Parts: sequence; structure tokens; C-alpha cells
Amino acid sequence: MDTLATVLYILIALALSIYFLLDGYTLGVGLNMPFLGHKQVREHAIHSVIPFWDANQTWLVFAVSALYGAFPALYSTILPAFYIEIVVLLMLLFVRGIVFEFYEKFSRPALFQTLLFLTALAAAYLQGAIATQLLMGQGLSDEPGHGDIWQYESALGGAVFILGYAVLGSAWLRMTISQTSTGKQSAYRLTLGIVALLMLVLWIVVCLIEQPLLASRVGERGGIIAGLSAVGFVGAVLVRRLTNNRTASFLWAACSVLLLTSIVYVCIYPDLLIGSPAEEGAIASHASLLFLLVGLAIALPLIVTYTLYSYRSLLKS
Amino acid sequence: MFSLDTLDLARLQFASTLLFHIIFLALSIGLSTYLAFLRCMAAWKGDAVYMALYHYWLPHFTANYGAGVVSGVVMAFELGLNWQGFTRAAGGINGVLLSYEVVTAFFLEATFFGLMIFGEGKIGTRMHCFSAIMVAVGAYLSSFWILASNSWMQTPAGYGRDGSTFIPVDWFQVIFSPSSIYRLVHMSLAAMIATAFVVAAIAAWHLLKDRTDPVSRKMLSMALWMLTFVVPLQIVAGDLHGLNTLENQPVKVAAMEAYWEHKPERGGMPMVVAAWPDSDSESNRFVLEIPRLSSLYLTHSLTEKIQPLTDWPEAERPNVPLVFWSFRLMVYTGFTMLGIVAVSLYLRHRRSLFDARWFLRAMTLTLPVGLIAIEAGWITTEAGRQPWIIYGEMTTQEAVTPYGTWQLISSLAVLWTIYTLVSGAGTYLFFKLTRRSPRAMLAKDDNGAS
Repeated sequence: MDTLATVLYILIALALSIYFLLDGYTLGVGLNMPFLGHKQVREHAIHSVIPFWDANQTWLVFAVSALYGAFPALYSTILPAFYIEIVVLLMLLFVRGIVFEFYEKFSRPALFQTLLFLTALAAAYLQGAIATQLLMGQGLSDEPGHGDIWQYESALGGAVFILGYAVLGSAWLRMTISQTSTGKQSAYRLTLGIVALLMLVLWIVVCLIEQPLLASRVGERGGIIAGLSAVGFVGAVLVRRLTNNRTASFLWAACSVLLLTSIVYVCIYPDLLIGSPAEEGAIASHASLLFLLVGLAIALPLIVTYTLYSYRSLLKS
Repeated sequence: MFSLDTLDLARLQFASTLLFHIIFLALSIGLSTYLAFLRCMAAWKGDAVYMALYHYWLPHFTANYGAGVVSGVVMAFELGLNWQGFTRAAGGINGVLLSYEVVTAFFLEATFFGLMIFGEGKIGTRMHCFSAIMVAVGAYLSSFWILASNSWMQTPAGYGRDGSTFIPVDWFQVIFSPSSIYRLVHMSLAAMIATAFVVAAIAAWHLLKDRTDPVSRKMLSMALWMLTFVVPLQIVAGDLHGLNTLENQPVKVAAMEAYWEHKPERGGMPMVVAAWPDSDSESNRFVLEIPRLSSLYLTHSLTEKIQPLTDWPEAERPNVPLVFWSFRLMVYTGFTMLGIVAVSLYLRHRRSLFDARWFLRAMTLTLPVGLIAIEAGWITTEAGRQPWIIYGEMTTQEAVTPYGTWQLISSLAVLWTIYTLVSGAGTYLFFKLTRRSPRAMLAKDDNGAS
């Protein structure tokens, strides 16, 4: 992979991480619906994400379209490989978006909250299972529709995503809604965090056993991984020093997502997917990559600026 | 005789998603423009009626916007799901254009949409106006890129080929391919018209119940003024777009006109008002036509003729009845709109725009005309370019992902179920929101201000 392609690889990977983080908390709020106790807390919870869900979801669209522009062969292989799964995932996100935009206009909170929970549950599972399949090197054959999301390692991945998103969602709620600072809610968050962590460790072990290539990459790149982890640790300490308790838990969850996904990308590179080296034809032409990169170089700083502005002005109560 | 193969099913899936999506997209373009205008006028003039109109239409817009976004996301994925051959070969062009759409338009729309809806009272008036404008700008930027992409597929330019792969050579030519500006103008105007008819119809409905309501009066008057300027402009733009298509995709125009072969004994080409184009006998049955009219609008002369369908082998012709009738539907709807505009001008002149109950009743029925014209227009242009996905370069048959029939049928079942449910909920919501009295918005805003 030459420099241009590598830069795009990093940008796409970063966009995907941002998606996991941002839509993670959005879906996570849905996942937390049954555990929020009071009716009014659920109401606040939904309203805390309505202004942001759409922009959050756009990071996935961005990652996928940039993948299409920069690595068309990969895009046109992995999408058909998970045909039904992706169609169902899209429909779940579809219903989720409709629920958010219709929520205030229909007076059916119970129905809509249930829908929010169920769509988030299924969407998180599908994302985790598909991600695991890709990590296992599935989804690269030309035969469409052969991905298997019910293998046990996929199921584990699904569970990790569900729990991880639930953690992000509850950390978001702790940050944005004061009513979630009760003792009962803290106990719930602690339990959730521990279960998620255990499941994550189990999933990582299974992935390393089932995909020896991944294990050998982890061995080869131990130094970089240790470095990234050190940065993550320093970040965690800084967060503790610089912010209050309510914000800290969300920032820690966010740092963990970025750290974990970065480690995965480091292990995959320079393959596009593990075990599939980027051949000549897999990458778009130099002219395509360059033009794409120019656009991103102009647009991304603007996007980050107005996104931060919108969070700042809409989160102040 | 009736069987659907992988290609038919994949096209059906894509077409149904597009036809569903385009309704919300058109209304999003139109309503975002309308709302940005209302918001700025309210800030500038301090007129409560503008703010009442803004608050009346805002919930319609948010619901519509949500549906537009989520159905649009489906489209972005469906390209890769259904048209593997195309995305693999042309990703370096098409994928790059879509990425530009995402980073210049989607994020902008989504973020400022949040600020527009939830920032009222939290951000200053100027910033709020700016947010409303940015949402509209996002809608147009989005159209610009997606239509650039579609136009490149219709009239490809600025590219080279490396084996099966399409390589961009000149990005300016790729983005501004021969049909792109025509398509952008035609579609943007269509979106404004479709929205204006929805607004006018609802205003008329409220005026039938309460003819003194100042908010509904303003609503109807503004929408009709908009139509007065834009409908004639659209007819000119449509004519120019047609001529552009004649130059770049002559077989599409021949199908639009159901013009099978030259008849030397006749001077000029007739306009076929109604007929059943029969592809087997390569002729029209049950014909009603006006002599020379088609020559006039296609060649701007009374005698010249265009290339007939029989100049192309059968495999390179689109489905003639479909293209012919969808085009007729669009054009006839367009001229009906012109008639409505003329009547409204006459009534305005007579100062009885708000009193002529027959006109108000008729206006309520015109609610879907703009949307019908848009659907018909897209069927014309998309069915009319068949069998090509990239005109002259790659056929839809070469592009389609080789799924089994059952896979496509089950996904189609999932899509249609969700679309039906959402359409049902959306229609219910639309009428629920519409029933609110516009005049009551005025009182509500007053209370809010005091």
C-alpha cells in the first residue's frame, strides 16, 4: 500500500471507530431503556440523543462510502457477502431513525421505547457478528450471501457489541442526565461494566485462537500495541485529573473504544482485511485517491468544528 | 410468460427504494428552502405570521427528514449489495462522488438540523437562521453530488478504462458531465414545485374551514407565487433537458415519443397524445396524434425528424410503453400545473383567491401532483437508459450481483414490509400534523414570546 492508500486506510478506520463510539452511545441509550427505572428518566434519555443520532449514524455512511471510493473491490465483495444481514441491519437503523423523529409527534412512549430497545439490540448484535466474521477473514469470497453470523465466535462478537454499546449508552446518560446518579444506577453500571469486560476478554481469546494470523500479528506488533496502550493509560489518568466524575466515565469508555479499535487496525494493516493483502486491483487509481483525499482534507476539519459546536450549544442546559 | 430473474428483482428492489426515497428527498429540499426563507423573514421583518408558518411546517419537516435520511442510507448500501459488477469497476469514480456527498452535505445537514430543531432558544437568532440556511444548503449540495453521479452514469465523460476498471482522467468533466447541470436544475425546480403544491393544498384545505385565517392566506399566496414563477421555468428547463437527452441518449427520446420508424410520406413528426406502443410489431396501436408537434418541440422546426427506435437493435432499446407513458404522465401533469397557475393569477387579479371555494377545493386535490410528476420523470430517465447502467459502457446485466432468486425475494419482502409500515405511520402522522390550525400557531408564538 502506498502513502495515499495508507492515509485513506487510516481515515476510514478512524471514521469507523468514531461510528462505534457515537452510534454506540446512541444505540446504547436504546439498550438501557428497560433499566432506567422512572418514566421521566427514559423520556430524558431519549431526548438526550435525538439531536445527535443522525450525524452519529452518518459516520458509518462516510466510512462505507469512502471504502467504496478508495477500495472498491473490498466494498463490492463484503457487502454482498452479508446480503440479508446488511438489509436487516439497514431496516433496523431505518426504524430506529423513524422512532426518533416520530417520537414526540405520537403519544405512544411505551411502544416507541420498546422499538428503540429491540432495534438497538438486534442492530448491535448484527454489527458485532459481522465485524467478527470480517476479523475471522470471512466475507472475502466472491460467492454472495455466504457470511455466517450464528457461528459461536460471531455470537460472542454480537454479545460484546451489545454490552459495549450498553456501557457507552449508560456512560452517556450519566454524563447528560443528573437523575442517573442514584446508588441503584451506579450499581447497575458497575455490574454492566464488569460483565462487558469479561465478555470482551473471552471474545479476544476466542478470536486469537480461531484466527492464528491475528495471534501472530499481535506477537509481531507487541511494541506498537504496548505503546498505544500506554497512550490510552496516560489519557485515562488525564481524564481523571481534568474532568468531573460524570464526564470521566464517558470519556473512559470513549478512550477504550478508540484504543481497542486502533489495536485491531494495527494488526490488520497492511492487509485490507486480515489475510487478504491489498493487491494492485483492490485499490482505486491514484487519481481517485488523490481527489478523495483533497475533499476529505477540506471537509473533515469543518465537520469536526461544527460537530463540536453543536454538542457544546445543545448540551448546555 | 411472467417470470422475474435476478436482474429484474435487483432492479425492482432498487427502483422501489428510489421511488420511496425520492418523495422525502424532494420534500426535504423544498421544505428546507421554505423554512430557511420563513425563518430569515421572521427575523428580518419581525412578522409573527412568518414565525407561525415556520412552526406549523417544522414538525412536518422533521418527520419527513427522518424518513429521507434513513431511506437514503439504504440506497448507499444497495449500490454495493445489488450492483457488484458496477461498484467494483466504477468505485474510483462513483464512490468518490458519494464520499463527497457525505462529507459536504450529510454531516452538514444532520448537524445543523439538530441545531435548527433543538437550538431554538439556546443559540442566538442569527445562529438559528444560519442553521436553517445550512440545512437547505446541505440538501442542495447533496442533490448536486448525487445527480453528478447519476449524470455520469447517464452521460459518462472524463474517464479512461484500465481493463474493466473506470479511471478518472478529468474530474471536472466527470462532475460536470454533459447532462449534469440540466438534471440538477430540473430536479431542484421539481422539488420546489412538489413542495409548493403540498403547501398550497393544505393551505386551501384550512381556508375552506376558516377563510379569514391570516396564516393560511399567507401560506396559500406564497405557495402560488412560487408556482407562478417556477412552473413556467420548469417547462423551459424540461425542454432544454429533453434536447440534451436527444443529443446524448437519442434512443431514450425515441422511446419517450414512441417513434418507431420514419414515414417518408409524412412531413415532420407527430406528437402521439395517447397510444399503446407495441414492441412486438414495432408500431403504436390505438393512436391519437397531433401532426408535426413533436418536430416542433424536439427539433424546433416543422419538418425535421429524430432517429427512430428501429435504428437500434432490439436489445439496446428500453421498455417503450413504460418510458412513453411515464413521460406522458410527467408532461401532462406539468401542463395541468401551468393551467392551475393561470387560474390562480386570474383569481388574484379578481381579488377572489381566498373566496372561490371551487378553486380551494380543487387545490386540495392537487396535493400529490408535483410528487407524481417527479416519480414519472425518474421512471422515464432510469427506465429510458436501459439496458445500460453506465451508458454505452456497461449493462445492468453485467453489473448485477449474482444472488439467488430467493435471497432477493426475501430481502424485497423485508424492505417492502418496513416501507409499508413506515408509509402507513408517516401518512397518519402527516394528516395528524396537518389538522393543527395554522392560526393557532400565531397564538402559541405570542404566548411563547410574552
